[in-house]
Amino acid sequence: MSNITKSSQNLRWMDNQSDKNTIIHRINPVIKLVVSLIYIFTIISFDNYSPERLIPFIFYIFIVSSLAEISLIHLLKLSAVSLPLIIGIGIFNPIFNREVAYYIGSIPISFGMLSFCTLFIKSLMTVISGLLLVATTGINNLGMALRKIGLPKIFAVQIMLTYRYITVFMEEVNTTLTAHSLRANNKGVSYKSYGYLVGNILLRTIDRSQKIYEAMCLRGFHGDYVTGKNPKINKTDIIYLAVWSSLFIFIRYYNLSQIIGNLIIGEF
Amino acid sequence: MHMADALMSPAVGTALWGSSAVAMAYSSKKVQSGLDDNKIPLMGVMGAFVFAAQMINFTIPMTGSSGHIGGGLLLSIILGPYAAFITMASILAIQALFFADGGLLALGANIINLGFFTCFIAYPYIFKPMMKNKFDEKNLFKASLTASILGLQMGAFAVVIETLISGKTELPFWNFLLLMQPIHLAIGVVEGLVTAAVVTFVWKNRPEIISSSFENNKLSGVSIKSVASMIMIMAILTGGFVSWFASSNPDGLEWSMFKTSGQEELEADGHVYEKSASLQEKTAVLPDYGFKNTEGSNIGTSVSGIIGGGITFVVASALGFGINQYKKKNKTDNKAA
Amino acid sequence: MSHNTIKVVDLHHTYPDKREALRGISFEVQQGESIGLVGANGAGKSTLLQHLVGVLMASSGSIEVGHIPVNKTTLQTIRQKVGLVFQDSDNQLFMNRVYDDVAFGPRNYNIPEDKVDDIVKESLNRMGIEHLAERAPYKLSGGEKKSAAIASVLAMSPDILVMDEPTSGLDPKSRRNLINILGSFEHTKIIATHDMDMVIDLCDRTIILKDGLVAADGPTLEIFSDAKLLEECSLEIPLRMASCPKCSKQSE
Repeated sequence: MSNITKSSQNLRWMDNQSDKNTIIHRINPVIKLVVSLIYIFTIISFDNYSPERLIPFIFYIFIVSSLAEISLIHLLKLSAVSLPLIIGIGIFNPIFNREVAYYIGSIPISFGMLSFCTLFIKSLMTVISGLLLVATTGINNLGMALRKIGLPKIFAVQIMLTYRYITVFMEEVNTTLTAHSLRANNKGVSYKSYGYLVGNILLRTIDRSQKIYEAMCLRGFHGDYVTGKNPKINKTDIIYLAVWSSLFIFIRYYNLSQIIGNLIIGEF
Repeated sequence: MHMADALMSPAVGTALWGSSAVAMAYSSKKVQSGLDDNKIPLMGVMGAFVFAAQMINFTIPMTGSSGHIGGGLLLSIILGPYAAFITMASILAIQALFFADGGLLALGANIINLGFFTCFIAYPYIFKPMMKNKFDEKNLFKASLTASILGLQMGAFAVVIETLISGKTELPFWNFLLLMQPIHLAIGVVEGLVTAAVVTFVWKNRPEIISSSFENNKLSGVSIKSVASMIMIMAILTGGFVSWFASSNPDGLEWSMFKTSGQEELEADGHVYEKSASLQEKTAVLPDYGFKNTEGSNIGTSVSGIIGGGITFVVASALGFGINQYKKKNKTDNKAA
Repeated sequence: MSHNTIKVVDLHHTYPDKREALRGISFEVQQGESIGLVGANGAGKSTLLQHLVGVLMASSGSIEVGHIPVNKTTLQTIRQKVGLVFQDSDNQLFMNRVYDDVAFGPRNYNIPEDKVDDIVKESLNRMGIEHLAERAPYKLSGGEKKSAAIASVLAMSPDILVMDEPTSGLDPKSRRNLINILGSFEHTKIIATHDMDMVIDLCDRTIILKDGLVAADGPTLEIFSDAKLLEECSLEIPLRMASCPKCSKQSE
């Protein structure tokens, strides 16, 4: 019920974001997908004990989100979903590894704390970059991009179809649950009712799919899902790819934080 | 449980994506060759259905907690394993992309953990055989429960192995296992009960839906040969990737394309041996296995690193803020114009 | 010209559960005619519509569209001639963008993409929804969805339009908008509906179905003023004609 409304709102928000027309939105979706994957890949290639080496990667997030006019706060809220798992597993790190790495003044920093910190930062960065990708690309372009990097066509088709009908079904489930709750006297869905509720929705689902199939056939469908032409790759796209990937690799190679920190300390 | 990107190493992530791709390619071929066109919209709406159905929590009596359907087994029963696998993959993709539930690089792992084990092992080798004798409510209940529980246990175990090999947690093997398996046992029970409830309902009201996909062996039959060959290819890929990364890489399982600066280089030689040894340790399942990778990593951390990190952060956010303001100003200028 | 006539001869349809939905329907439609198809729920309206596009096949009897019999081999041709607009637009719009839904038909016939673009723009234009081209279907209102669904059918350039309850669920403004647009179409139209007032506006001829048979087939106004007939078919005189002095006098 409130789960459903929240999810619908999320989808709607994502959709609205991807409708915007900024320089980032205009970048070729395949390029954006590749850059995001390189970003994530580079981040998770770091070891467990150098959280400060990850910090420069935040440039990508700050710059892209502001150029694309996507609210970072909202993205943070959305990424909260991924936190329970990370915290749930990561919290054991400081518990199991108490060996001290170094001291900040007189405060001991253990390896466990470092690895938890690293895990947390990595998680936040990878999740937000994924959301950023989707918010600047939209489902249609994403489907096309996934096809272009080699995933099977039927997989991309299924993503599109599933996405299309999620909102319809969430509506149906919402209505069904409301109808149930109006007569359920404040109790939740019992196991017995569950079979009927979900089973009924399932049957309507199957009937609906038959109608959709008819609709497709009536417009000439014969097994091959045809989509339109694909956007080309232009100079801006190449520059985007080149700049970001070289930056990521540079930051991976050089410990930027340390360099800057040494400079500052050297000053004093 | 959905794997996150941060819990994986590049090696494991890539290996599992490779495995996923193999399974998806194989399933796509099967789906497109054997079946009617009307499967396509059916898979799509079933995907949306499972998505929405996951939002219905039902109360588990006597525990006060709630559970919801996972979907793999139900999809396999309605669609057959190949179509179900692809549908699960698309559901997981949407969850990862739009709901931040599971990472992009971890998607491959999630497709294997939550899709492969249910559709290609639990369904054909646990559920179907249990239903062979008699298709009735009691059998349905037992088969559904068993298949769900075992399928989820396999998936959970895979998560443990993947996380451990990735080396992102300090949790010892047995502790992690003891954390994961019981939770997934409970989830498996819920999934089994729920699947049983729904399938029973459908079977009572529209039996032809169940029987048509069930009896059609072209749809629902998964030959041992095909599953075995899939697993073999995946194992080769996984083993290949992991060992390639481990052996060619002085930093061990972590991917590092370049030598890192200064101090770490000095330890490089000692490294290789340390790393291979600890790789042995990591993959051996010892009761008090612990992961203390203190010498292998690049501990350039020191106060300067932290200070530098802080400054970088400030600069980056200032840049972002600046762009924001610039855009806002442009907009108001344009409006005023 | 006869290439757009519909000829239904003694059409029977029995569902797998033994229910006889059509028990011998016969009628003819000439090119350009607008026909209202009315009747109680279960009378066979939807079943008949599905036969016209070959979604269902006759148990016995025949249908010809422009002298081409409707059977498994002629489906592709028939479906290019006859377009069916569903009652539930969500079943008809299955892409993530209105543009793609309207383009779906032409693209399936391997029409080059620039020509497809022309066709899509024209269809959207016809329904007055060019501004919705980039919209996702779930963001549309009922009326907008209906218009998009019709546009997607128009893109197939059918000569004959068959519609299942087109005004159901529409608010008064969308409904009036739709009726006006449909009125401007030169296509042959068969409209199954409960909206008797729309039938008066759009259809000169009406066929009443009752229990799988044709209970009446004639000029709309004549049929709608026969209160006894309407009652027998579980229908009522349309509101608009209820207090008409001329018609009320006739029914007394």
